[in-house]
Amino acid sequence: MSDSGAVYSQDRTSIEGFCRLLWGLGPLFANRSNISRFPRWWQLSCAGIVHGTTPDDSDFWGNPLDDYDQLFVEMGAITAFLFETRQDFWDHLSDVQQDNILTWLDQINAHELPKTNWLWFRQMVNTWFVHTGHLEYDALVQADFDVTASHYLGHGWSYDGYENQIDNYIPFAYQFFTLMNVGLAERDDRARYDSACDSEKTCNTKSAGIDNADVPETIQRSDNNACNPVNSGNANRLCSAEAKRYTLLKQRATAFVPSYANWFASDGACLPFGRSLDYRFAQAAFWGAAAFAGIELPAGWMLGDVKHLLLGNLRWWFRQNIFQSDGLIPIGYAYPNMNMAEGYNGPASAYWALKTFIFLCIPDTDTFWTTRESDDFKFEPLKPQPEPRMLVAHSRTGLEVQAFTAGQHAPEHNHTDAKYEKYVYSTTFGFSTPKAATVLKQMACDNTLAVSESEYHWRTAFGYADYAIHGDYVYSRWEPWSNVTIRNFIVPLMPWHIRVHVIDSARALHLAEGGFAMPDFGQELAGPNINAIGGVAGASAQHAADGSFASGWDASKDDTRNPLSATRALNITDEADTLPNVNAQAENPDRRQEAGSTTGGIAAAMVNGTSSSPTATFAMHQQSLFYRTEVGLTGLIGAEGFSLELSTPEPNTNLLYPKTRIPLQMRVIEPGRYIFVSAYLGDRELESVGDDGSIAMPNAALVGNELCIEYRNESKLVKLAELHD
Amino acid sequence: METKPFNENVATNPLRTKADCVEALVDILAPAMRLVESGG
Repeated sequence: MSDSGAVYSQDRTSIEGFCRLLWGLGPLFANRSNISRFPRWWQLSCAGIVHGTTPDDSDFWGNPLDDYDQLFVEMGAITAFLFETRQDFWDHLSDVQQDNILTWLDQINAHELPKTNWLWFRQMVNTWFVHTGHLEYDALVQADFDVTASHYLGHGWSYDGYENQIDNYIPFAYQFFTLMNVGLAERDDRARYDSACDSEKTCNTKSAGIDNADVPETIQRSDNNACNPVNSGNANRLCSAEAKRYTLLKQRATAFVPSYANWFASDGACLPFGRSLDYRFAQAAFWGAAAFAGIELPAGWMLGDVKHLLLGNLRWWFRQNIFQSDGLIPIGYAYPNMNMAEGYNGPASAYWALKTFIFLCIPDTDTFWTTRESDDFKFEPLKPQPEPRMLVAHSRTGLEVQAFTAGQHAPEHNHTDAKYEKYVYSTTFGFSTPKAATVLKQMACDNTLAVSESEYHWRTAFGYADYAIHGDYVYSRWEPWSNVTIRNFIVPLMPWHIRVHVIDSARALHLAEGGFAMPDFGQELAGPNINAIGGVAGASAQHAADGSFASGWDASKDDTRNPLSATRALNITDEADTLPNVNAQAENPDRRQEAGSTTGGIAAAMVNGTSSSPTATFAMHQQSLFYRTEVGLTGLIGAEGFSLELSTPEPNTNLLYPKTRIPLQMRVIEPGRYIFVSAYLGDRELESVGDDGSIAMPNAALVGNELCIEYRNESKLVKLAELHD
Repeated sequence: METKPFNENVATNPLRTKADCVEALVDILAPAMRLVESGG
């Protein structure tokens, strides 16, 4: 496909290229009629496996393999194909050919594997051994199952070897392979039961340890009367062990449904987060496997909801630019992109996504195919998810998902700081991975704070010293140097969110903080109104221009406790605010917002050596910046002393759009303590826009550790528990 | 008969029936299988 490299050897890359296609070929040929429709593809698939496992063949895949060999991953695809096509492939092989395949597969039991989802590939292989009459392999299945089962966290989530790393890959792998294993094994049992009954007419449907009482009802396969004639003699023990494992896995999958569903938007997009995003529509694989395995659905959920999530995500993906002109799927996400790739992404790795088509193994007569997709999209406006350490928010109709994260950390992957430790990730605006860290535009620092001791060599959060997920905000503490501490408090306020940074630094620092990225074909607005097109790029808009945030307080309450009343007293609407702008420094006189010289800080932002009393207020700067495209509306309300800029990062940094603009605020600080409050807008549905085109803006002020927020005539107080000094 | 661009079929596939889903899979597999067939 291409000559790009991966961490494994080139011959492994070629074998991977063949095996990954089996993830789609297996479900295709599970329907026998497709074998006669695509005879050449069938012949190539079968011959490839036979030749690859025949020791004296020129295409032999090798023996011995190595510890941690990439081919152990590909054994998953081969085993799935064997299960899916057993009656037409395996059952027609000679004894020698079958032995060759088993001997080659058995190598996985003689080598070291990482204690991660790779153990599921070994469970699949050993389950195949059991299902071909080698009952002793069930002990190996059980041993690996005990390890993977111990990785369970809650709400259906498991971790993949690293508890701090909960990403898209978890449902790609753990949740998918568990259910695929369940579904294929039970399907194999049913097929052999039917075959045995046809030939012997003696099978008792309740005799083999799995009866219908063990099978969840909601997506129950109509012919699920499992019996295992091959395993006669040990059938009861084996079926009981399998049934016990499968029951647990299905229960966990049931719990996973409402949690993972919250990662999806109503247009079918799934939250891009973490590593391995090259696998693209594997995001829908869990839904395909859940339908195939016949899990019980949670209360209030219907099969049509699962079908909607599955097919909606596939439709979303097939509308993206994921194909080359020759029809192949290259490395990338929503467009071809090597920048975001992992070291283990080979040229054909993306075809791992084909496993999503496991649902084609559902029989033609099953109710899945006649069930109507749900019209209603289920989502929760704001949902704390403790296992992936997120607050997940949806826009008004669910078109946009934003995940506010804290405490995730993956030590090894490319761009791991960008993939795991930004403040928020979005289905509409994606996120960006840097090209380099030397110059700021290479950083593409959307939704993160970059710091540097000069204008060069920037760094963003990599490893938080502390974190917390609360019901209304997330907290993280980052220590980029031993004498610099940055505490972050991120408060969702869809389509806005408020960021509070408390910086204690013994170093002078350059700061650059970005908002949401959008395509570069939009227009910067001249003010907080979407009709204000054609204004001076970068012109600041006065925060209080629409006065919307001044009216939300209940007059019957003691207004003296309202920090915003204090900010009003400081003449928040006065463009000529004359408060001293302590330590606001211009690191670049060319920056456009400096020309606007909105010197007005609402309150002093530097507290070190001035005021740190608990009644001091810290509010947002009066500058704002807005940018609109057909994708939506982004913007920010800057913090004290920052200059604003609609930045143009390097191309091919964002996952969704090859060229982007990112609202950015920048400032230089001297050593000291600072508290900055700012707001960021990521508005897919133009929820913030009024009938006259004006953009409703929040106001926020911090008093002690209480953050007071006003937005659209409503107010709320958020107590920042970790801000106690 | 006019030949559609390589990815138009899958991009416009409504995915409403099992046959639709099979066709989407076939459209994705076809370019890769051509490569397998050619020994690439």
